[in-house]
Amino acid sequence: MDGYASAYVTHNVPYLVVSGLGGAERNHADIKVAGARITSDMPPVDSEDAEVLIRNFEDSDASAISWNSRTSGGRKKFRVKIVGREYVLPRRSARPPDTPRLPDPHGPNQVNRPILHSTLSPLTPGSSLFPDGIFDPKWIEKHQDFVPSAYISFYKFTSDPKLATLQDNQLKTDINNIKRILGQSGYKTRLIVALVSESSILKSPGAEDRLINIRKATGLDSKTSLFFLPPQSSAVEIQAFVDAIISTIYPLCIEYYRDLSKHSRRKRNRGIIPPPTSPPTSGTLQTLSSQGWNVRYDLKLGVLAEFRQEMDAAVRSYESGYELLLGPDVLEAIASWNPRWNEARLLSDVFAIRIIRCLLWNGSSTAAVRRWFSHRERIRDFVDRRGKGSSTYGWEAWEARWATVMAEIVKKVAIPDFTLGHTQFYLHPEKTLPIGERLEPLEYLHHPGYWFYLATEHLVRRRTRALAIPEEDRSVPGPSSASQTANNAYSYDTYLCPPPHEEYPLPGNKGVDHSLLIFQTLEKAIAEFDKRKQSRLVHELSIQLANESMKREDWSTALHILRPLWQKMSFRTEGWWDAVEEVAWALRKAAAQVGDGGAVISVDWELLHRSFTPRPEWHYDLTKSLEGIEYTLAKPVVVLHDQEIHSFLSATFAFEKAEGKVGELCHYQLAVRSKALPMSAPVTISGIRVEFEGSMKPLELQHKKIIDENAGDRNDFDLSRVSLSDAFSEKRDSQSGTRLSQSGRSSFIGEGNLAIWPGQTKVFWFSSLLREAGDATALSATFSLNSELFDLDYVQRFETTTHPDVWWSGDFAKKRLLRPRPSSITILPKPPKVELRLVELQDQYYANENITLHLEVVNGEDADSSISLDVRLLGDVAPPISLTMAAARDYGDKDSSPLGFAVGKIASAESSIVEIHIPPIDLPSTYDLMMKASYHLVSDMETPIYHTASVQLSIINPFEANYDFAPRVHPDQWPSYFNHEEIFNVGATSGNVKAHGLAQKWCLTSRYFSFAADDLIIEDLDIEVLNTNGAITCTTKRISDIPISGIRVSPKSLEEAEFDVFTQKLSLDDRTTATLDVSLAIKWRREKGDSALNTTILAVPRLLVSSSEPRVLASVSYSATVPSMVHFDVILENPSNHFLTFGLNMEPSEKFAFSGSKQATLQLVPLSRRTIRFRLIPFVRGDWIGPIRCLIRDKYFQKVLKIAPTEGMKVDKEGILVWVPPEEE
Amino acid sequence: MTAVPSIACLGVIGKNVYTSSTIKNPLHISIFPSQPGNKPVRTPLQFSLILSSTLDIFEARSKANVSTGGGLSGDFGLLHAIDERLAAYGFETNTGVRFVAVVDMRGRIVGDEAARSQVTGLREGEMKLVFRAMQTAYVRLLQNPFYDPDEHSPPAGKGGKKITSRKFTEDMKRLGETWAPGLATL
Repeated sequence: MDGYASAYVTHNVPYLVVSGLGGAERNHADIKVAGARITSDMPPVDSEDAEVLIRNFEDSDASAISWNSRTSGGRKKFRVKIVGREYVLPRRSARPPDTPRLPDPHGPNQVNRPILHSTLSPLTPGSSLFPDGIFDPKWIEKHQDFVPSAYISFYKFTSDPKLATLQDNQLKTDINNIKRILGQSGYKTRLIVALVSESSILKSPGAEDRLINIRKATGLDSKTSLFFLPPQSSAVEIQAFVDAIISTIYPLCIEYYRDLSKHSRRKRNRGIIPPPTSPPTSGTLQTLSSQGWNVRYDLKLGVLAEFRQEMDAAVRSYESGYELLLGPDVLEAIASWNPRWNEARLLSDVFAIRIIRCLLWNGSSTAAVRRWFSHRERIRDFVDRRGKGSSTYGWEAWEARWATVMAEIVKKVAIPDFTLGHTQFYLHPEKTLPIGERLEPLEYLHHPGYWFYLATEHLVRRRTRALAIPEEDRSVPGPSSASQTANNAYSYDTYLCPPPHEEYPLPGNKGVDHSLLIFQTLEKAIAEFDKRKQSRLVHELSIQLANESMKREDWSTALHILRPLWQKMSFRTEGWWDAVEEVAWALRKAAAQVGDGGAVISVDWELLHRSFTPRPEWHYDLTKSLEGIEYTLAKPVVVLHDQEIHSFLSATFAFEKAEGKVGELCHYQLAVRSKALPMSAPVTISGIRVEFEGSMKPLELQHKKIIDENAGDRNDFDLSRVSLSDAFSEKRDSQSGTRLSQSGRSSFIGEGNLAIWPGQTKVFWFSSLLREAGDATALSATFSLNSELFDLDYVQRFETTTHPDVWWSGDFAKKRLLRPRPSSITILPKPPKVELRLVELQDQYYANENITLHLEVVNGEDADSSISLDVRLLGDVAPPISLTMAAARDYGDKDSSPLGFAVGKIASAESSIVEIHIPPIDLPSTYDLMMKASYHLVSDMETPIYHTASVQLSIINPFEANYDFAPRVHPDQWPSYFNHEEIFNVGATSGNVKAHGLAQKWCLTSRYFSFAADDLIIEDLDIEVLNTNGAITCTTKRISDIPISGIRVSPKSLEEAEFDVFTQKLSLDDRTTATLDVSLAIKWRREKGDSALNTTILAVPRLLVSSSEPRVLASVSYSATVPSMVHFDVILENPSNHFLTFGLNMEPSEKFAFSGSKQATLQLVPLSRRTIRFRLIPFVRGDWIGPIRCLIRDKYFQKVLKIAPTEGMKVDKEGILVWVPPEEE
Repeated sequence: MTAVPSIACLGVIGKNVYTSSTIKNPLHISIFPSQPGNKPVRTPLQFSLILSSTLDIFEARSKANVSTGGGLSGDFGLLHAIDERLAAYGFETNTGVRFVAVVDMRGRIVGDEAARSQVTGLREGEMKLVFRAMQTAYVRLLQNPFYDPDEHSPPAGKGGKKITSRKFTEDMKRLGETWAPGLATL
């Protein structure tokens, strides 16, 4: 929009002048049009608050806001100007023509007072419009920049009571003075007074009265014209104060502009052209027609409506003015050679611009675009009929301008769909349009990038037109050739564009740089497209951009654009070859000019590909690439990667097999395929280097010239076997050819014919021994081209492809490799042939057993091996193990560490046995026995070979047992108080203290169960007394007999063993409870003859013996005399120190008859026992009889004592059962 | 004499949906002169750049469709207006193949009688007819057992063949030449 006066195109907002804050240096009043001068003697407010106020007013300045209703609704409502104490208003009406300052030689008429008009009116001589111009942008400027709608004057409000009256009077005078000046100026600018209090108002209690006084004396409205800022206001309060002023006076200011509108409308409606100050005096100058006046008024009305932000009203006025302007009476009436014609045309543009803006303001995007189109069509029609036609460069220049204007408006309007997120490319039509209406695609309002792009298209056409200007019009018109100038003026449209001699200057003259114009506009378009991530379009425009640079011969700029474009463009990855080609050729051209040899070679490499259209005249020979290019750089060194270039060379790498073993011969192939243009020269590669990941050495293939040229190397397919040699040997003599990799690893070197013809597939077949185990993958092939002029490396990575790779086995024989990644191989370590074997392994091992395992190490290798073993037992609390050599115990013992146990040399096909000793394990558990043999062959000491084996050992307990602990009748007499017994050996050692207390007999029955997997022999069973508590002695005795050969316990069988346990209290007086801790020790061995005896100790639950409570035991014995008679004894024991009385009650039973006391009362003295005998005659034989219901009751405690059975008896829930032996025959 | 819209270019842009391949290559481009014997409004290169630039919009819209759940019909409607004459319309099949029709808004000069019924500009969705016809032709092409889509949009690697089917090319030619705004069938 730079062709239009900025007043014409900027959006109008109310104008506000703020004076009296800070110094006078802010006074920018324009003196040229000086009219009334507002001055004041009062010092400006210069406190800190003033600074804050200034900042707040500056923040509310609306001159730079976007052109839409959203932003104008905020606090930015005014165009704010901050001045000092002085402000100069422009003249309202022109000076009379006879003033001495403006002498008018043509008949000053003093008799009739001249009618004075505005300085900007076509009626005022001296105005630029006089006598028939329509409009001057200064009028808009006047209202936007010079005549404020409100004038705010800030004053200091003193708090000093002494000075108050004086200052208040000064204030009143000053305010009234300004009011008077404003009134006299003829403008209806509102005066607003704002008082800034100096310090606390509390000190001057009369402030309120003083304010009232000032208001009354100046006639200011306290609500809308007089503002008071209390002292010590915070920044927030000051901001609120400024906001309050702005929001209060805003409606008044709108009213101000409405008054101006009314004034204009009145004048328009009057319909009379006022007489000019002085009539036109010279020539046939005509005056402005009444329609012209109406255009003028409509524009004013529209602008004033914009001041009021009433866009609908503005559009109406503009549309009316526009129609009038383009109507038959205004523009049609002006001759096209007249400068007024271009002025009127400019005015029509301004109307259209303002209409489009107002439409966009209201959100009518499609209407705006339509307005844009229709204006263009109207003007085209006009230019065709009345002007110089629409096929001139001037017209294209205007078209370009018109598109740029649209772009800039759309940008300035800041439509949220375009600015937020940048995801919309165009707007949908507004809702007011009927659905299904036919729309031009561009009528969907597109974002500014498209409009800029449209402008560039017109700029290009403008250039085409300009280049067609005949030479005679292009010469600079001299002062003499006036006729030619006039001629040009008739034939060339120079509306907002230069005359032909500047548009397309003769060589040597300055003129328009079309390419630069296009370049700049394109850059703007690119910026917009880039914001919206239209990368491909950006790339497309970048090509144009570079082309324009090249047209200007700005090669470095072109290179600067093309180089990154060529590298990053999406065309290549997406396969748009014609676009790639375009960029590539352009880059080559620019690079050749700049002398960037690297870029030239890169492009030439790419352009060899068959996808691109061949250029017949081009040599297509890399070696000739740099011909005719002057170097600015040293010898170019180029590295290209396959991802960043569309290379004609491609390589695949394949191993024949997916797996190989160390020491085996491995075959692999590198296939190089050329897709170069058939007309291109063969490319001779200096060397190919294949890099591997993992355990393979890099491979280098060097070019070897083959003298025999005809040997089929031009065939489409060429398979050659290449023998490889290690680089170590050649490192010394061939410095240049061999490049060792940085890590210093050696590489394989081979030689082959690397001249590759277009369309050829060359396969190189290699084979080498695999040396290291692990995975190896061919990563990349680097093609190096080293020549005197340049060095080029092309790196291709081998990617996984979905196409199966091919294995070439002959000239035409090939097979597909159906592996996901043929370029990788798994190299397995050399298989170990030493075996580890456990011999004589038992099915099951038990706890508490000494385990000895026999490990046989068999050497299956062809040569002698030196072997060392590493044996570990892994598991919870694994015991330390030891190794010994079975055969040679004498020296194997000393080196029995299980880790790194040297077995020594074993001859081929021999074996030796190592014993693994595991000490007895207490708890059942599972262990892993890991055995690892590391060895090397005597023939190859370098390569370590490993073989591992592992065995799981599970250790279980061979036995488990449960126990029964029952009382028995002790045969000995109880000690009696009445028998005196001297205690000797009182002072004897405590080891053999004689026990004097009560003795008891118990029976421990143990039932043990074998969990073993095979038969075990039990040699002995014993009860071990581990501990006694409660001062007793204890002896045990096994009752059950064990044969000398031991008990043979088969798996899962239950055995029983009984033990007598005798306990005796050490002291008779001791009656505390005593316990026994015993364990059962089973001595067993395996059934094998020489197996060792193992002891399994089973814990027995704690046994409770010897209480002080009375107890009742029952025992049975059989009469020797009467065969059928059974003696049933009830033994009552009273170990306490009390006399106890028991009641005895024996119930009769159906199973037997008995004799004895059926009911009795028994008195037991302390420490005594008593036996009650019953004689039973059972009615059955060979059976259990009972229950014998014998009830013993403690008389005192009324407690029934339970009768404990002893041997030969058992208890069921009702009583005791007694065994009656069968009748003997 | 009035100018009515005509098809300036039809393009098929391939895509391999099974892999993350970046290939979005032109499978087919047909360019139509506005009148028989006239030169097309742009060069083949320019048309291919125009087709390529529509990918920007396809991508942006697809991204927006993912979040809004729109675009199920595949019709992208107006992609953008390249300038005051050319506008690109787009369609995406559910396998990701994209059809683009570049319409020349002043493409065909018609006599006054024809012009009376014609108005400039296009209705929304007016291009659906073209895309449906293109899709039918493309489906017919895919039914040909000798046509291997993977050859044309390779799952990996670069490049890809263009459609060489004579029948498909003829279909496109017929489409581009016969279409005019307001047609009900093709």
